Amino acid sequence: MSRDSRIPYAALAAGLTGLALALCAVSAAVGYVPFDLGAALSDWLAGRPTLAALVLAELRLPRALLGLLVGFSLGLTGAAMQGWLRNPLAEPGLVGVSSAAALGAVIVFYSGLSAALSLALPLGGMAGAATAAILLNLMAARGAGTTALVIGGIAINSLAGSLTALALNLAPNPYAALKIVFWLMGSLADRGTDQLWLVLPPMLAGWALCLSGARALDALTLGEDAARSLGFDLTGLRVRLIAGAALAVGSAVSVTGAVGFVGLVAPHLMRPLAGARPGRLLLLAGLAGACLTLAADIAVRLLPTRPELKLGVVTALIGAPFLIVLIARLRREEA
Amino acid sequence: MRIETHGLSATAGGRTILTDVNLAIRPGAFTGLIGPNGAGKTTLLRLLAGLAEPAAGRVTYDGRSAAQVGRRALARGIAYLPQSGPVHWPLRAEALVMLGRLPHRGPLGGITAADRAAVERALSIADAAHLRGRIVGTLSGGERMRVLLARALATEAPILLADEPVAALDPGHQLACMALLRDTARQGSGVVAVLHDLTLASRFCDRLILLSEGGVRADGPPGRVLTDDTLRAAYGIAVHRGEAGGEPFLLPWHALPSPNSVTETTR
Repeated sequence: MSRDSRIPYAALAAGLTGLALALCAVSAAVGYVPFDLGAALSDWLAGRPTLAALVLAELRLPRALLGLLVGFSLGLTGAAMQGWLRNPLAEPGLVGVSSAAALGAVIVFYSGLSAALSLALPLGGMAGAATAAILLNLMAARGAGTTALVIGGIAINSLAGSLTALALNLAPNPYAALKIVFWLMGSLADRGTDQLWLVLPPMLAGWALCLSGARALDALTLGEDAARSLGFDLTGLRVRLIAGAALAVGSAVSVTGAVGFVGLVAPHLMRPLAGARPGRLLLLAGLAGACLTLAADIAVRLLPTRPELKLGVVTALIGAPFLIVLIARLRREEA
Repeated sequence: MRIETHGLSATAGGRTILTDVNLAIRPGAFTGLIGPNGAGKTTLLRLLAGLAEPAAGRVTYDGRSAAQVGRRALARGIAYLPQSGPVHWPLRAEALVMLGRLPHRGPLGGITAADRAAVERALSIADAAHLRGRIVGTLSGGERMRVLLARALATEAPILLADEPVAALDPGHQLACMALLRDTARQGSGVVAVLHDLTLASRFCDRLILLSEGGVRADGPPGRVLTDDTLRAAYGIAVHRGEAGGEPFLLPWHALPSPNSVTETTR
């Protein structure tokens, strides 16, 4: 089926994986202190506890790897949501998991638990995302259709958003409010290995759940009845995708805050290269999401602004105009 | 595969659509499912495909329930072509037709030579081979229907259920599509199509099932089903009959003022 796109799928996936790993290496080499990546790497591999090795292992690598994981999660779930709802405007947070995760983290902030325990923040975020996913699946179990579920997701989104605003409104002092606002903007700065290990298992599980729906998403191109007539269980697909999005995006938001637009843009970028096939798009969109997030995180450190721009601010600033250009171009091509 | 319905009833929004439908669908015949708007044709087709749950009664496939047959085996046994056939992404025609092979592919299995061969056969039967590289959204209505038909044919299922396959086609494409469905049945498949055009239905189908007022009003060869009395009662119409090249034909000629027909058609 090489006819479907000019570049074979395997070559595309391999090329994007190579690009993502290269960006990881660049991300590890870029920072505020002059840094010899080669020396740090050899020190670290040899087990010499030099300052360079420590910076690499405890700061640079976790940041780069988290960028990779978070970007992949956003791109993959974005493609999964768009395929599932057959709507190019769908994005990973559509079913409410992002804002619920943010709310969970804000509650932890607010309660002061985050000061006591460094992992309290991501754990709170994951609890928030899980709550949203359970709520949605309860609604689905009562027989809500896809449209009702999307409306339910929007309701969860706005409820979580307003509760977050309430927390800000009632913040004991401006400093606390500012800290929450800054966290909500999304960043990969100063994340450590413990956060990396905490989010890795749920993210991998979420990826597996989303990727397992590839064939069913392909079949959904023909609508729900045709997909079912091709032997796919759409109820099972829904449960897997909601759970997958909650695990992957919920844990992503828990450690980085809100990083917008990656999940929306990555599938759009890759769709023409995937021959528009939703199943094939999943992996490519994940890899593209990883590349975009890593590139944006490198950019925030290279830009001379101080304080450092937040990652979520940069992705939105670049992502929004980019999406407009992309959609305008797609419309011309379709016309 | 032989599909049978036993005392089948269906409701939608509290309204009874079908009551006590007993039918058998066998391979090798082209059956037209006809009846006025709202008579339950699409509902019956979805029930036959196992896509809807009946309010009462059951559907069996070679004597077994859908659950006993299993989702994937049923998908290999029945190809279903929904009304208006939505295509949500700008796929190329060949990739779209390949979707018809999904029931034959394992969870991780790639596309096999058998899959490619089936897609080639389907494209050639549906006269769509020259469209393979085109994006589906850029096709004309007739080309698009040929590609969608090829998708359903690519499954190579013993039963093909098609919901209004000729509704949006011009006369030339309608005739070609009806001939294709008839030939598919001649090759041994059981073909059931929801149809509105009585002229085409009477000319091409081996058997017609006329649904009206919640049940099967007539079932048999076109000549026995499309009688003046039945047509008046079911559709509230009178037809003009004639003969062309030794074949009888009928044309809906005028609507009869009947309270029954008014309530039926304004639903």
